[in-house]
Amino acid sequence: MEFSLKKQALANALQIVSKAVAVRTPKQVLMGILIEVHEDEIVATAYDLELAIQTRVPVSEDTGLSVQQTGAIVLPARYFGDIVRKLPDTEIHMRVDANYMTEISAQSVEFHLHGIDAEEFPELPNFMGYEGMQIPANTLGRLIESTVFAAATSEVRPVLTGVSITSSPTHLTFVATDGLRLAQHQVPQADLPERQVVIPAKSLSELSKILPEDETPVEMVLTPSHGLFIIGPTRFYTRLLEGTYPDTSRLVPRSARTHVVLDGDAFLHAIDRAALIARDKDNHMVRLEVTGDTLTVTSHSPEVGNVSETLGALRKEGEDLQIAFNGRYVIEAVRALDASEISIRFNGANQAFVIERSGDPSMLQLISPILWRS
Amino acid sequence: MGVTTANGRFEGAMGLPEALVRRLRAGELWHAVLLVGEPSQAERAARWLAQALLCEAPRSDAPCGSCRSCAQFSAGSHPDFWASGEEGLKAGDVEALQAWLATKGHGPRKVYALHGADEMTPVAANRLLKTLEEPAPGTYAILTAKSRQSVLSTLRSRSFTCLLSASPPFLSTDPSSISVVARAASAEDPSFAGFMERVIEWTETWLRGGATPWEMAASWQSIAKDVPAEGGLLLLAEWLRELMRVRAGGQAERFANWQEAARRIAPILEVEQYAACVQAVMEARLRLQSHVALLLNLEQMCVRLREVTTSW
Repeated sequence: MEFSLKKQALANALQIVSKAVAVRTPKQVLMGILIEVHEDEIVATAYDLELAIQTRVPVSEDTGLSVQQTGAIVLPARYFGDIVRKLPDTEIHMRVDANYMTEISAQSVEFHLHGIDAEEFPELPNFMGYEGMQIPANTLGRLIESTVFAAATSEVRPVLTGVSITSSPTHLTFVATDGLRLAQHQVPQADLPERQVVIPAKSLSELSKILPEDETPVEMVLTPSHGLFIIGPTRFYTRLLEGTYPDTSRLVPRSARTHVVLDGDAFLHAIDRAALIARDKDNHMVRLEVTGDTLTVTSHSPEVGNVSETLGALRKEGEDLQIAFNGRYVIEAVRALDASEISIRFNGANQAFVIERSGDPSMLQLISPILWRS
Repeated sequence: MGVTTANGRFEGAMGLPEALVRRLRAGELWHAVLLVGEPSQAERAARWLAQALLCEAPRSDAPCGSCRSCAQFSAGSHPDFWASGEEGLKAGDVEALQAWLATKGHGPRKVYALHGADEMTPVAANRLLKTLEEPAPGTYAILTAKSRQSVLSTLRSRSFTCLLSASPPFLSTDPSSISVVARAASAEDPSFAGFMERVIEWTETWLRGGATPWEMAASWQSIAKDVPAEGGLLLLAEWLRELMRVRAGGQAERFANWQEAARRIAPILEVEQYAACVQAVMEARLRLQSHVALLLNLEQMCVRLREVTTSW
């Protein structure tokens, strides 16, 4: 195996795939990056057996790639990445000698790195015969960002550590819940095959980091056991979670005893300030009192002190209310909505409340209140 | 096809009981199996069983060793196989396993092996209960342990115990003896101080026929009173293996400090006799795990040793 290419092209490829390198494993080969050299491209792959990222660097003027001899090698990610990053910003030449010893050189620098036989690298899952669906990268990124934070972090119910993805012929829906809050985002999307899968939230967070912030089409392929996202030259593979995702459709209340519309930023800042006083052991409890068109946000802690802030509602319908909730949940929910005007629907102090963008039901955040004695 | 031996074990199946191998071949293996035997043997058996379960071309002599799954398994990168416990099993290992089990497998089966189930921390063992109790379809657990009794009873009750047949002791050195021999050779370990010299003296007395088996047993109990019973017998078996090696014309390697004694004693018996003696000692060591009085066990061992030296 022998090739040369511009440092930046190789460094970019390694940076993309390095997110899927296994960190703590007795299997040496999983802590490496597979480099496969073909006549017209090189392919870099990392795979920790749960998540795989593969990216291609084609022969072109931009990449400066020229292949002298095809072949494949697995190189330890930690050293390989650091070496490439610290090499001079010129053309890099790589060659594999006998016994998997790999020479990496640029100008007068010459590294020799012990590699591993590429045959030992695990095979990626096969997606042949499965129908894909196209989604713009920024839409997918938004779907992930607005839901992934609500997935459970504890393994008590493993299926809740994932995000449920449902595609119907007209809509694509992402749902995440940890049992105390729920985030749902639905976008209209034509010609989708019908599927329902649960993808680990961790994987989607990693995916969102490599998604471009434009309308680049992302092809999403879902099989009964794996998900594949193709973003230009990069392929992102993830395992799916076992188990049946709970039916969340009946959790969202349709009616409201109190309906408030208010400025999103003002509400977010008020809760953010109140959360400064709210303590972890009290579940970051923040209280909200709705009286007429006025909202009062308060929080107090016997050891720290207290805070009170008054906000004016843009509109208010229904009865007055006093409710307590986890300030952090509300902050994350309102941030995810990213709206100038938000609408909150309450059903009394003991029922979960819904936060939406005002006039836009496609995205909703459902949060359980904290029960308390006034 | 594996051959059934007289004691109902399948050769080529790492000493696994025939009933288990038959169930495996029929696709009716229990969801959780506890393999009890020497750690290295149990680990090999667990790997064999896992590879057979994951083999894509299961034939009568599965694992085939040539399919894609077997190739990945041999390379240590099979995505549907999980193993831990080589350095002890803690709660964190069980949590990591549970997170892995929550994801879907590449193939129809997922297998996990937990080594040293008898040495798990209580917290780890209790965390594992639910996982063992409610296995997902196509998920198989293989636990290994040195001693069945040391495994938490709630784990035992949730798995099917299989005792592995002891491999012929003269075929290979037991890896677990390495640390015991090292301790005996080290002058710093007070419990083993001077133990090897007493073992050599005891061996010479026995081989020269200077004492009855009962006296030999009592003498062994006395000289080995400061060392763990299992460790003492393991060291004796290793010492006899060393004598066998020297008798066969080799050099004393593991007991290099006692080279001269080994050369002096080795010619007394033939190689086959030493092999039979090692077997007798290893059987006595195995009996330590059952409810047999120590002295009675040692007397039985010494009677066998005497038979070997006199009747061949």
